[in-house]
Amino acid sequence: MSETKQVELTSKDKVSFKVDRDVILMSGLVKDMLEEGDEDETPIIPIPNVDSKPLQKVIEYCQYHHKEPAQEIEKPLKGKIEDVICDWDKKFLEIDQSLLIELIMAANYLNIKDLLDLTCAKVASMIKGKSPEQIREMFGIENDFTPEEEAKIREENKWCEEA
Amino acid sequence: MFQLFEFDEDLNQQQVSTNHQWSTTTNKTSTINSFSSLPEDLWIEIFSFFPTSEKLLNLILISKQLQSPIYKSIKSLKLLGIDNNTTTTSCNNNNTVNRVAYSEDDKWLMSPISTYNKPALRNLSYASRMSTMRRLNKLNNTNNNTNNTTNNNSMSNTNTNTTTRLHSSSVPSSLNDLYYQPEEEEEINPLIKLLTPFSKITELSLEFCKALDSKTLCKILEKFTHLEILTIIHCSSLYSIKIEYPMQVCKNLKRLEIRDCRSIQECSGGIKLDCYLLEHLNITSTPCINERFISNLIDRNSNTLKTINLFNLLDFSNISISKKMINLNKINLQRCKNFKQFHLPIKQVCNVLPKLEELDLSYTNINDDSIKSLTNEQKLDQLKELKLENCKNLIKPIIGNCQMLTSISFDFCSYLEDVNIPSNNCPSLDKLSLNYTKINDKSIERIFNLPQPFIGFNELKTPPPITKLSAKKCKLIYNPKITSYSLEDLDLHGCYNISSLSLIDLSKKSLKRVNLGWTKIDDDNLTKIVETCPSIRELSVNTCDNLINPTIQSNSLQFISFQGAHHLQNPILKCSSLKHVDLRNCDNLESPTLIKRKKKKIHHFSSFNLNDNNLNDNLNENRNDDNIYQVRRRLNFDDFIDSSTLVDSNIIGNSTNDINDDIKAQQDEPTTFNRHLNI
Repeated sequence: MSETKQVELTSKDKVSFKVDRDVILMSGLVKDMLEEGDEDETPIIPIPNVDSKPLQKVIEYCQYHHKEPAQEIEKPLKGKIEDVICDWDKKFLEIDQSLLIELIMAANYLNIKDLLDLTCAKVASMIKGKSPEQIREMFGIENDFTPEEEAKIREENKWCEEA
Repeated sequence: MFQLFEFDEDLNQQQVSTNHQWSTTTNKTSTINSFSSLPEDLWIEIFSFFPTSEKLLNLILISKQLQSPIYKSIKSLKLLGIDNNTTTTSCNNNNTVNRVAYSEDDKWLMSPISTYNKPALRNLSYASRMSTMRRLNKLNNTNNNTNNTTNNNSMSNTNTNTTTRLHSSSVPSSLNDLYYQPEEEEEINPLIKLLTPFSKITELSLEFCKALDSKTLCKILEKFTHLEILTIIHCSSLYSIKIEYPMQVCKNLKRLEIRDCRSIQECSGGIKLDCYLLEHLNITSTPCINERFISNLIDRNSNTLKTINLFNLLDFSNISISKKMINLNKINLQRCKNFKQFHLPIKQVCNVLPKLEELDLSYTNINDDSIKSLTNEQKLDQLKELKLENCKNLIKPIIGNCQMLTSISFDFCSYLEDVNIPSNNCPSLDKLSLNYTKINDKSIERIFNLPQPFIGFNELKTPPPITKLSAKKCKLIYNPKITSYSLEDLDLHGCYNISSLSLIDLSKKSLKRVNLGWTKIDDDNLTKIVETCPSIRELSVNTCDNLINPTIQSNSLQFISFQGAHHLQNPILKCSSLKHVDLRNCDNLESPTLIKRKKKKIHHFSSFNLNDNNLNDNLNENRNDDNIYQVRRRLNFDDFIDSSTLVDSNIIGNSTNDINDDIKAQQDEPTTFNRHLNI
């Protein structure tokens, strides 16, 4: 049969997705598992760490990018992330924060480097140009520095100047 | 199977709906924390998108939790000009002086402790002071052993004294804490303090850091075992480098660069490196790099080394390589003035350097024999570029068999008389550079290896297919005869003894560029050269004072420059493709003639001579006459606009705009050529 082989992914909340084998091979984790396993017609791969919502996003990403590999994002990031990625990626990233985080975790767990880069760069872009206070507020992180400690760090890192 | 799935899914759906409720509620609570719940390695990933300075000056202040990933995301660090805090350095120096002074008459125990700038010590009892002093003294002695050579005599006394003392008296255990204090003092070294948080760096560059001494370097290397690239530039307090086996340090080091660390001396410990996975070695202007050191290092890293770059090292005269260097691609020994030869195994023909592509031995002491043995006894199959500039010992080198060699440079070898490239030896040689050498007529002729005109054809004996020959400022060339099949580019600029040149292009189509500037070539000779080489496109005869009324007839010539040919009067250029003529500073120019097509005189420069008064002077002086100057230039840019209009406009035209319009109009005509003439 020349039909494309499919793979079944089951998320943490037990939702299953059918994906073309070629598509999901972008994930290092799945790739490793498929190589180990025997050639079932439709192997079932449990993804116990990822919810259905991010998993669906991941699959979306793979379906688009397995044909058109994403361009590498330059480090350090220049300007906003929107300036360096393609339109599809821009649209793809129009998601709320919690999903973004889940997506990062999913990309990390599934070992999809391009997606991890993209999502991390997105967070970096959110952080960029903001003061520590603003960042804390945005991410809901508490300030655990005493003013003395803060001053000390400033003093210690004074040597570092714009290269 | 399929059905089973559907069923499964149905079942799950219920679970999902229940789960969903739960997950959203938890999500709500966790969104606040969710960013902080990201594991560290993901934060490292995120922070890797920022430049180091932003991380250290701004982001570091977000929270304590994020400090570690921020430091870990920094992979490469360049530290410039980190000096010791003035107090610690000067103090240390004082200490040594003091202690040496006191130890001589054994009064060192009473030396004022305040010199240590450690107020804590002042409060200690006499006993603890004593032990501290002993300990410091011991430390100091080890320091002195490596650093201090001038005081050898006095030091040997103290050494024996103190060692015996230390053996006889045991340190009380209660003072153990104190025992470590001086080490702490040393750890205050600003470099170590600075580097401590950066646990993941793989690339470290220390430039102009006075704070770097041998011990600090050792400590840094011990701590950062995953360093891949280490660069040390001009650290004047570094007296020795010791990276020795079996230390686990440097097991990842791939690129090592030591530049201008001039304080490293043999007597102070020198350099000992036991790295074994080096790929790139770069040492510049650092004394104490001797034959054994280099040979050992090369030997140990023979599998990995890709480039060796030693610049301005004077302490070695040869390099021996005994193992096959399977990856070595580039050797650069520029300005190692005493370097004479490679010691390589000789077994008829062997292949120690199979991948070598570039070899630069400029400014070394290499001689004809070592070049001969290197290129003949070794199979340098991949060698592409050989640089032998300014090697005063090269006189008549013979180049052996190098199949891929494309470029050789002998520039500034001021005693070079001849280059012998036997037929078939360098079948890829493309570029030969002999500028500023003592090369003579015969040797130039021989390079192309066709003494008997074109007979070796059947014997498959081909001369090197040189396309670019450069022999500027060679005073011993008088009447060269160059007969070549492949030459494209000939540069004899400044060979001021050349009075005649026989240049024959056998293929009739290869020679493109000829530079005969500053030679004594005359009118007839020039005419003949252009005749025998009908494909010349660019010809430069700048400042050739023997040219007066040359006639040049060529269909291929596009650019010709007579700049500064002071005696040039009436050149006749019958060149149909001419685009650019440069006649700047031709003071005696009378009426140059350009003939575009055979038999059809398009433009005679009679109009020109109207302005000749100005022309005779340097053009820069014509600024007051700006209009005319511009007009003329404009005119010359497109000088082949048909004569009548042009002459008219030149004489009349006081406003450049008019002429611009004229010229534009002319350019639209298909017959006009865009030509260029600078006067």
